[in-house]
Amino acid sequence: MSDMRERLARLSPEQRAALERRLRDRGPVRAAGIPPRPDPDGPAPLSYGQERLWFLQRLDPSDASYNMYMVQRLRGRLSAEALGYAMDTLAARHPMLRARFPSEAGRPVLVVDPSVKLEPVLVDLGDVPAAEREERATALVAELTNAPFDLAAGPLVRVHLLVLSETDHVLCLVLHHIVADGWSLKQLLGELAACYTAGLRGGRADLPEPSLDYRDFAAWQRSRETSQRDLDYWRARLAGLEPLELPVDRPRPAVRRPSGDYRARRIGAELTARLERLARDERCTLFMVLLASYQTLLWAHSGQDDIAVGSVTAGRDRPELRDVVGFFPETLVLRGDLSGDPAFRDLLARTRATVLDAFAHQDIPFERLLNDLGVRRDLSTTPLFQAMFVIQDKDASALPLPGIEVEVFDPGAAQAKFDLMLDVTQREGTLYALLSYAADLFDGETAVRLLRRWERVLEAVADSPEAPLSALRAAMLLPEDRLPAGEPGAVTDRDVIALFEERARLSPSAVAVTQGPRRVTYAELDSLASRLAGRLAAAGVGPETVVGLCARRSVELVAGMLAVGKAGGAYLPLDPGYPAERLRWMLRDAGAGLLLAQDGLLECDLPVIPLDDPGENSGEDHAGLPGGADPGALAYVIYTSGSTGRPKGVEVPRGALAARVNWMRDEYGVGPGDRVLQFASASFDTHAEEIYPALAAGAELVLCPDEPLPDFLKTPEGAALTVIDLPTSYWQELLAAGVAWPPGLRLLILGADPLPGPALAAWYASGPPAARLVNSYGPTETTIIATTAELDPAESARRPTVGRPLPGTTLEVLAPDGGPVPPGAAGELYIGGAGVARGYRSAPALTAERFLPGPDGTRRYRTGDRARFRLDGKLEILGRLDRQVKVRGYRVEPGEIESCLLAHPAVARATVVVRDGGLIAYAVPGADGGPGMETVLRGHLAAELPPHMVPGAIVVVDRIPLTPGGKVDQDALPAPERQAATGYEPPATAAEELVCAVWAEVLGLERVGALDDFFRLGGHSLLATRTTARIAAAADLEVPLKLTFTHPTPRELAAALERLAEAEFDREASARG
Amino acid sequence: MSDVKVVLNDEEQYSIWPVGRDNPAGWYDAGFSGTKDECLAHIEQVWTDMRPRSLREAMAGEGAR
Repeated sequence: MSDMRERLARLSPEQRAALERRLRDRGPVRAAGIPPRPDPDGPAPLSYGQERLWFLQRLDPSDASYNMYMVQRLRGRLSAEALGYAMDTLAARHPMLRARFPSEAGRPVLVVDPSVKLEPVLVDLGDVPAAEREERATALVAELTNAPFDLAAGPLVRVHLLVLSETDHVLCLVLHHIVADGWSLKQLLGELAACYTAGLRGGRADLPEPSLDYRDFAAWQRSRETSQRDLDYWRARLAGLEPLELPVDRPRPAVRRPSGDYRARRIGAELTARLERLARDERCTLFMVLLASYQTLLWAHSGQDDIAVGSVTAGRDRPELRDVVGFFPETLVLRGDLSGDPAFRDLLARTRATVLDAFAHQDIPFERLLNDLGVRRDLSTTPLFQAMFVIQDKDASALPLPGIEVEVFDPGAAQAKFDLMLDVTQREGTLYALLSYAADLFDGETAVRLLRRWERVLEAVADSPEAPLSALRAAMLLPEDRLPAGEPGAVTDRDVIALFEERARLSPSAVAVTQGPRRVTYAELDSLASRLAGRLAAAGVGPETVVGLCARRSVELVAGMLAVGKAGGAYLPLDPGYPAERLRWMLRDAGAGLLLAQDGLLECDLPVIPLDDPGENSGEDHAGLPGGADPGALAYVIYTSGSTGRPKGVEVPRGALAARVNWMRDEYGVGPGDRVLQFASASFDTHAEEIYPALAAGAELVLCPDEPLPDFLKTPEGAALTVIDLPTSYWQELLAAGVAWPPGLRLLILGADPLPGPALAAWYASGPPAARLVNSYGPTETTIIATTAELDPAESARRPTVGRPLPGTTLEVLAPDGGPVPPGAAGELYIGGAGVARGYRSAPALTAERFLPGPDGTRRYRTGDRARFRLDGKLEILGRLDRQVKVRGYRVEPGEIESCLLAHPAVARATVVVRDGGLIAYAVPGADGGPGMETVLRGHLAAELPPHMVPGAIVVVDRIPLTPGGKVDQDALPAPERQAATGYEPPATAAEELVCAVWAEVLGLERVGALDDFFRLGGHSLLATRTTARIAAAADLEVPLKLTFTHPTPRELAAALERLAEAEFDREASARG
Repeated sequence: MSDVKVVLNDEEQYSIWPVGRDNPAGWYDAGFSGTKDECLAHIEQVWTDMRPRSLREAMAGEGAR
């Protein structure tokens, strides 16, 4: 028995699948084989696969990624006549070579023309100067392999013979995949050689008739019922599948384009032999070993452990299909479970089961699967899987022509059907790997490293299949992957208060702070701060005393910060715009001993020192601390949103602040003569980036007045600024509004939000002042910023980087198991070094959880940010690993807002999401819920939360939809503005009426509303071709198929149609005029 | 299930570390292990003064002077 199992296991997946199917259903249809159609020349349907390819071509008529080609250099005396005869014979033998696919009413029809001539088009390059001939031939071939086919017009075969000399030719054969597959190509080459050889002798090749007409196969395939078992299998197998989020080098375009490129790598004979041995030892096929290693590579780069890879089968396990030219491959999704850091051997066992099961259930056309699973077609990516893996047959496609020496010739194809496709051919005991990639997403160097890392994995598993995946990820590190070590930090960073006091001594009469018409010199500011410090010290403020600081943006606020520093204490900024209850809670939570506040801004039961009344000059300024400040003592405590519902106070020590400020002063080149804007609220640590470097350098700090910044920039004061620091999202708004930047602006620092490439491009296109543009990144927990990048126009084509770490700062990108990931791969960012905060105020557990021991023994902060190093060593921030969001530069934990909602008796359940850049709350009414509760809740939230955390809309819902995985299904939550349209929204314009009517008819619905979503109504890709064709016919317009995907409601689509019609009208008018 | 342990460094700052992996330089076992939540709950109990030890000692010295 076990011997039997062993023998079964050694079957190739296809053999095994064929066997299993034979055992499973011995139905009469099987036994009978594929019947010929009654009328061989009568109409025939497309096969499912052909229909899918037809659809893809309709979606993007310029797509040439489903071109197949064979390009070979033929050296020797070639007979063009014999070649012509051979091609014509092939066309006569195989109906698919004469096929084309026009559409009728949006449906494709298969037409086979009775006779098509396929003689090669001769292109004589003899006249081209010899030196340029090679180049011309290469360019011509690339043009031919990359030119799309018109499926309606045909022919779908293109044959060219480039004549370089009498004895030097390049044969270029290009076919659309809809009429052939890899198997067909090999078949055709064999027949071509036989016919050519016979033709040379003036005879005919003696070839057996193909056993079947592809059209019979298509008709048979369509007449079969889909096996419910297969369908159920795939539905269960693919439930909850998430797209592969491989970190890309450039942002993914909204509509994917097929332009691609590839890199190649040869796996040597010795390693190949070891891999084959491994496959045998593990009772696997080489396919399974290579697939598992490829999934390991994707696992390491994406950080995901559920990796779906597409593959194809020949789809020809029925003997009568063996010699038929046509499109038979079936696409399979091979979903790998790489969780739990298994040994590669165990992964291989899982892979083996996955592959065998998939092959056993392969009898379901991929397009039917997509429709059945309700996979929504997203134009930015391919459905179900983004990475492909195929292994080609052992014998290479050769063309044995008598008297001719055949050489490979670069086909120059620049196409990619998928984000990544690994294509492995076994050739003479070695493996020839081609990695094709979408050129919009990846750089060539990325593909090169992926291939080399994959080879590292192969090397490692061939030796020790017991290695866990985490060890394989470590093995992927190449010598050039070692990142340049960060610069060491400065040996002595001077305390910020000492730096300020030094400036006050050096240039007492220089202007330190400007507030409207008020100008305060360094001496005045220092005196003010010292007098306040004296009062603070008298009240008992010293190291580790937290002092609440509640003031509007003013000279007093700045003086208050300096005063607390001088007294040795730590300030807790309290924004007067926040609800008083929240501010009082922060004072309690931080254990503040004192409040320093402007006139009555905040009531509380702590002793209050009025900021506006610094007290008499005691004659002796309180000039700094005796013996200097301890760098370990607190400088400030800043509260940030907390996911558990309580804000958390980040404790920043003086040493960390000093390290950042010393670096900024030098690196930003701040000095006397600079006018630095103070824009940030003191509640956020960006205030420290504005205030301290300026005051440490003798520059003038210009307080932003209450008027909007664009207005201030128009005043002489604003126009004379030289340094501005803004949240990136706000900078984008100003840029879009066409704000007038100060002509003397020399430094613009961005941060707090991701910087989109297009915004950067818009900046450089807007004719900005010749300012340095710095992108910065860093959580409050690592003190203001941890990395910076000098930006340049080249960055706008990518995801602009946040650059390199500040000196003395370490960055690590780690996998969930704590191991480092290779550059280019995504992981979680940990930050260590000089800027790391002490922890969260009075929150030991939270602190211990986020501030962890690093490899060198120092503590590092676990950011929760998903990040990666680019191959040039610069950092990219990819998003969050938890639910934290950034809203207009503010860091917000939706969980905190949800807790606040749940604390209200009207709410039973709540969730908060970000939509179009704003916060939206969804609440399920509880016992006390009822009409008008939105207003009540808004008031409740506004009384508890800072203004930036109050959602822009509160939507009452019956239930909160969940995904199969149990997470909130954000896509299924109603958009707030659609809430008003309860269900049916009647069409409002003639165009909307047309769209609604056509959709209702095609989808078989009684009526369709103007806001209904095509795909939620049950529409799918092929139905979209039908509705598009009908709408186009009715409106007498050229309507691209894409529109239904980009505009999925009648209202959106109708608006797009109206724009199309207007453009068309204008064109006609100008043609007439 | 005990997959995490409580560790602390020279500054007597607490954190957690996987059981079975060598401690990083300068970190010592606090003698408690358990699930992550158990370890964090333990730290919440024992880490009562969150000032780094060197600061605590410096402040005590100032006070004594």
